[in-house]
Amino acid sequence: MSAANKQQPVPIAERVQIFLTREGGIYLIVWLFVTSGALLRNINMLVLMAAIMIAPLLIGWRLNLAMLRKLRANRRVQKIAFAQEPFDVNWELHNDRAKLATWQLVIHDQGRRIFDDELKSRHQVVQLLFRLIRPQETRYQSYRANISQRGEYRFGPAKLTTRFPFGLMKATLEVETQDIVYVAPKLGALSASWDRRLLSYAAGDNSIKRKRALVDDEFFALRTWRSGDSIKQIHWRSTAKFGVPMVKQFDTRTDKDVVLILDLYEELTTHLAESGQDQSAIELLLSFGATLFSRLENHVSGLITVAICGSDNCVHSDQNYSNIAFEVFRDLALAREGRHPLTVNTVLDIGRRASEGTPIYVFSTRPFTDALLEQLEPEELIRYRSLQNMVRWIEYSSDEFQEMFNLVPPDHRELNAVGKLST
Amino acid sequence: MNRNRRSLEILFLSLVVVSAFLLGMGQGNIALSVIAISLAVAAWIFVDWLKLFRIPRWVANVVSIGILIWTMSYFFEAQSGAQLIAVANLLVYLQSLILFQEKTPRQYWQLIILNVLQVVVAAVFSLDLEGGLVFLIYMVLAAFFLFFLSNEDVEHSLQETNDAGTLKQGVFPFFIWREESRPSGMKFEYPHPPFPHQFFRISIGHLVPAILACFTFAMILLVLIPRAPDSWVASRVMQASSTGVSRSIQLDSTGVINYDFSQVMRVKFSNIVTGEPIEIAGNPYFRGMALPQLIVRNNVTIFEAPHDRVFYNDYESIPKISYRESRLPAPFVNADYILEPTNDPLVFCTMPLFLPLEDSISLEVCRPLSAVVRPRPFDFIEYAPYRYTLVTRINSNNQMSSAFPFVSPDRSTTHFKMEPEDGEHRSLTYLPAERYPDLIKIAQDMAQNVPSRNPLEFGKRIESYFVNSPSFKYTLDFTTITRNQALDPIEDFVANHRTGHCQMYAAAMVLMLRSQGIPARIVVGFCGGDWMGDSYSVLNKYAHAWVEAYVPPEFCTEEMFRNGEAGRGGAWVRFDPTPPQGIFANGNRGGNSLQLARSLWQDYVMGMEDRSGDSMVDVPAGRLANALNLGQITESAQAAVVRVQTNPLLQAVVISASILVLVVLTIVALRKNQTKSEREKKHRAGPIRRLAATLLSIISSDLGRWVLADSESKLTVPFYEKFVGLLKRHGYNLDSSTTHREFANQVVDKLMKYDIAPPTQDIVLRLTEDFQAVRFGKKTLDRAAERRLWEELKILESALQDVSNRERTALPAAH
Repeated sequence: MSAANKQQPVPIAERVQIFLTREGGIYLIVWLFVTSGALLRNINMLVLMAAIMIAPLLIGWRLNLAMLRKLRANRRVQKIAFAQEPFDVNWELHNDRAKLATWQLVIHDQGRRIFDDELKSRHQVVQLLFRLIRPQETRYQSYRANISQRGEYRFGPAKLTTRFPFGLMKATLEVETQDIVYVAPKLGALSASWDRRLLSYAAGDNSIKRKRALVDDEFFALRTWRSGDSIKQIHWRSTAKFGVPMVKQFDTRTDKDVVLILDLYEELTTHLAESGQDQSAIELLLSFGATLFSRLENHVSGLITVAICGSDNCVHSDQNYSNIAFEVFRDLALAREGRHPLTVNTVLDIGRRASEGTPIYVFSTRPFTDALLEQLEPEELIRYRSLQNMVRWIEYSSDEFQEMFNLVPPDHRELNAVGKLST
Repeated sequence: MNRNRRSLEILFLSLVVVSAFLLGMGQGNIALSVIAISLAVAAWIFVDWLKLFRIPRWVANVVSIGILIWTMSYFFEAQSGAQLIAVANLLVYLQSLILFQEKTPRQYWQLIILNVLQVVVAAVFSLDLEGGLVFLIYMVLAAFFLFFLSNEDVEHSLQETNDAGTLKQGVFPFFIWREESRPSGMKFEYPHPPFPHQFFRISIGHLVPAILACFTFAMILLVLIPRAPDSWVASRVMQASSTGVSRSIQLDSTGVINYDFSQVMRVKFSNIVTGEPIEIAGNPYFRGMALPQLIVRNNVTIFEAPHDRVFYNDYESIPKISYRESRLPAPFVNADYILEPTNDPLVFCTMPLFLPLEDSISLEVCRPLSAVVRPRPFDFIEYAPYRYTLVTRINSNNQMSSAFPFVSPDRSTTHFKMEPEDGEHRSLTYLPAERYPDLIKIAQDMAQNVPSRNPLEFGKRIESYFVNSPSFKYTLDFTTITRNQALDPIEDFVANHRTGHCQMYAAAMVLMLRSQGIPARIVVGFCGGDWMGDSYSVLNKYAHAWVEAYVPPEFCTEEMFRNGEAGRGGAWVRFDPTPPQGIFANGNRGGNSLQLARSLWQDYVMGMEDRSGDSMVDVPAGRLANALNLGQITESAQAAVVRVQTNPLLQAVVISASILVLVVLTIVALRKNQTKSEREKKHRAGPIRRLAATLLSIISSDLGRWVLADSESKLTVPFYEKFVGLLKRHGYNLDSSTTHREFANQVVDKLMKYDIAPPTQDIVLRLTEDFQAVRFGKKTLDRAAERRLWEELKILESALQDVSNRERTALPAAH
């Protein structure tokens, strides 16, 4: 996954705002009462009391202002996360002052989901407490976030506040920096058979291997010697230990290309939306896509082509997984169902990027029907016929798909609240 | 239980103890203090430490309303000090009630406010040096309490914010209701950092200088702020356990009389022309009242005032000095008195007594008490020192006059002497002779050597007899004296032990004078004071008793007439038979360190003398008040109050209006404080339920939420329910196999058949879309949108009615 931000702590705004807390307001009212009684009735003890009472307000004011000056703060959070998998949001605070420590500093951080439409989500607020930051000291704190739904989330802006020592005045400092986190769909589990099928053996018997530079295979595991294994691969120490010839198995990266297409077509959504079923289908497909794509990192060295066809069509291709990982997961996070059906022609166009013989896997919300072919022009139909065996169209509700992927569908009540964050 | 929380509890307990102590010191009554401390300790043990029980909030709210009504009933019945006591009661009981609840930082804030207000009440009552030190200790404890409370508040706020969205539950009587949380999109797990090593030690180490800075700031402010001339002095005259004036003296002391060092008054003698302070040569005598009446009770001689109270018809005015006389630089002097707050209307003076020409204070002489008093209600408690200025006469040696003219009560031109047949003469010469044989014998022996039975000479001889005799001793400790119980104490004193205090000496002299037919009376007051450089500080320990004897004019000397000490009616002559060791010569300059501390406290903290002679507060405040016609407004307001108080109907109207305003304000405040979800909940609830929830929220917010709890569980959309019901009545049923939009299309198709206008058809589609948005999209409708929807439903209803009518009137289909 992409690394978290590694910026140096940035100086935060010098403009510290000071407020009277609610308790300070009540304290002030009591002070006014005491003072007015002292002045109107000339009660000397109350004058003394009022004089003593005003001092904590003044001291709190100056102290709170001073404690927030020359502080540097930075939030570090990863750009890509997965739904229902916790991740850490880290805060780093540095006190640049030479003498004065900062006490009981609270960071008010917030996160909210960003939507395209009018629906707005409320902020989810979290508070972190730094009890003591001595002069010239750096302190770290983190909190763990667990986001249940995919999407685009913004962290920030944050506020630093302190009310030390009496809680009557509160100094506040805004930290304007904001971080975007794309929460990709929840990861599931591929069945073992499909794992092998997709990644190892069924990646296209007829696909042309791409030439690549000689790179040492990575050690993967130990197994018993089989006919055909090189003697050089025998691990003698393990052989002595186990009593049978043992060889090292190396991670064999396939040079073969992979093409994955997610068809997020929305049909009969009116009815299905009320029952929540179509949302399940979309989310299921996206989770499958995220799971499958994440597995490609260590198993495929050929060209990886991923297409997400929904409200927008996004296609990413690269031989280097890490070059497209961020975009793919981001698009998986933001993908929306579309009302325009994915055509076979589009499938073929996408598949053209890969080498000949590469299977084109289409995972869709709908079954493949002949109606889809009716849209093709004659030449396209011919082309399709030639590649017919390469196109593997799998509907989400088919037994085949159910076998290959395991994910507990999200609760449809939560899905009804798509677009809303509740606190 | 973390350390911070426990420290908070212990600190608050300490604050309760200290504030209760202050309240007890101020009121002079420990009952309320004992109650406050007992309840606080019990609450800490059973609620905070053992956690055996706690009072639910709604119960506490109801009880607090009861406490408020009960204490305020006393408040409106009482006057001045009793009102403050009622307020103190209210504060203590409310504080105790909160102590028995579950305490969050909010409760602790309520507690500290109630506690501080108790200290305010205590400060208004009285606080001397010891009280002042306790007060300072309280402020230090309060500062530490604020610190720990701030820590607790941060923790609590952290937990509340970070736990938002989790399952909440509440309990009302025995029902448990649950407020299911919505599944949230984001959940955070936040750390709870422990207190770093030595956090408290370091932070408290920083706190101590902060507190010292607060006190320094306060003292600087105290010194610099303008002082008003009528500043209130905290202490008041407490009834002395021993020394001090009283309206009755009983001469059978058997224990030890202790000195009381509390200040009674400050007196400044100054030149009437230049204002320069004058130190009196010898001890100044500050006259209180005369105790002329002699009674015997339980075989004990008692001298007392003729009655205990001041009656308004017994007043005489005090003569003002004449204009001509006032121009003389001497012997008249101004005597400026600052009397400590006291319940007693009695004021002190030096004789002879005059009022300044320009003065308009309402002092008069109460003749039966032979005392100067200020007339006011008996139950009035004085909180301010009383300032007044009198004029008296001294001689060229700065000695006070030892006599003042006798003025006949009827002031007639012919009867201006005290004649033997006068009632006053009889009263002042009465004594039961059989009780004092030896005393009378001594007096007779002395009288034989007095030429012409001159009462002046006789009085001096008696005075000399006691003062110069080595056998007579002064003491306040009667535990070592063996008394003959068969004898009258005065007889025993004169004849036997000859050891006593000023009252006994004065009583003995009065009896001796009376035995020879000379009218005489005991006078109580103060003799002497601590010279502070420009004035006298008269403490309680300077209380003294002496004798005044009537000398007819024929026995008064020329000098007495010349000095104004005698008039044509004769003179009252002062005699002091107490041996000198019983009087502090020239006052006690400075005293011990505690005395000095008390003086400093009184003068520089509580006394608040206006050194500038002008007030920066009173003068501008007075000008502002005049500019705003506050005086007139105040008078009008007072008149209005009186009118309300005397008219029951007006009272009822005012009370009803107040209650109504209070209820409305409470409802508005509660609505403002509601969160959006609570408003939504209320919105879904019916009007009766909403009203019930609002009213119950006054007592407890939990109650209000409990009432509304059900409305949250039904995720229905009221207007769509009505829509479906309306259609059902007209034969359009929504079944489970049909979606809402399909149903809407079916209805529209049917409406089209009957040529219902398109806008009405659109209503159906619009209602359905709004329902979809609210039900699935979680949109909320504002008031305008809601109103529109309900109006559209009405339009639809009439359209459907029209369709139904057409269907009924349509011809049946042909078979």
